[in-house]
Amino acid sequence: MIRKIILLFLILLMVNISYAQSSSNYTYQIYQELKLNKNRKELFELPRFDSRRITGLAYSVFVPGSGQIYLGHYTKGSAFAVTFFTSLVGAVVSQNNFIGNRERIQTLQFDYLNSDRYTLADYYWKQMVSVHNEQKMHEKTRNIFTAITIFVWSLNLVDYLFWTVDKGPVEFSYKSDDNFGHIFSIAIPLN
Amino acid sequence: MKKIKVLILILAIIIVGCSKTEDLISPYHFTVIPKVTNLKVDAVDTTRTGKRRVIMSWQMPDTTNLRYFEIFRSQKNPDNYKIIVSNYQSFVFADSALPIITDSLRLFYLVYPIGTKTDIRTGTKVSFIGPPSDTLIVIVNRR
Repeated sequence: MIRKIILLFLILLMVNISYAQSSSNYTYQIYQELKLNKNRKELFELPRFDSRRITGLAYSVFVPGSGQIYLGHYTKGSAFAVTFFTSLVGAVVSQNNFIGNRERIQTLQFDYLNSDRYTLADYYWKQMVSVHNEQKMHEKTRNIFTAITIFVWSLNLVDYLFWTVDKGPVEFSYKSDDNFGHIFSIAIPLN
Repeated sequence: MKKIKVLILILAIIIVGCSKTEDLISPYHFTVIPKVTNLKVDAVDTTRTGKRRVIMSWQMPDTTNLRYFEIFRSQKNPDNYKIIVSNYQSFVFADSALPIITDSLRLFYLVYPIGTKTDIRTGTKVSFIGPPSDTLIVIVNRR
């Protein structure tokens, strides 16, 4: 009789333990899912805008990449800035050459129309055709560089708005990697 | 907001400033006066006074705008061409004022047709020297 009672007790105990175990697993799964959902971020989810983000946005609008640098993303910000300014310089140089070609064509056209002989007129005409072809090439280059500039500027803003998280203000500290450095250092927030 | 307006204004200026390549004017010099064709030596002979003479002739496909010809001669192609006759209105020319010939002489001739074109500033007709003919090479022996 005592054996039966002990056996029944053990069975009940096992059932109880197994239920508790399964319940614990279930709760743990729910907890994990909740945690994942909490950490999951949408691709185009706007982060909370505080004063730092607004300042960075103003930087990024006028100097692409500077907003990212302001928020602590130095490599990405530098890449944006370098690409933007390189393509901008390319566009400006091409536009300058384009205008130069246009003025040269105007001068050649005047000379061409005033030529009093075929050989001279033909010389000016060939020059005009050559400069005109150059001008077309500069127009294409300018358009390509302008498109790249606008694309990089827009991408910079999109990146800033949706994909750049704030790493916090940078603090200047003497010997910050040393454990004792914190004790004997002065921390000055840079931004 | 003000900054954004300034930025939009700058972008608008950039976009408007990016004008397209304008087309060239249509060429006029090909059609003012045609080139002299078929320039050839008809004869190399001696005049009654004993001077050597080169007789040449040429043709023109269209004489509508033709006023006269100018004929040039050189002893060293392609440099040093000198005009030997101007205001010439025939298609045959005899050159009897040749340089001194020691043994034999190689001469180069060019014929330019002269026509008119309309001046763009004044709108009046002005003289226009047409395209040169192909070079005619003549070898003249002393006798």
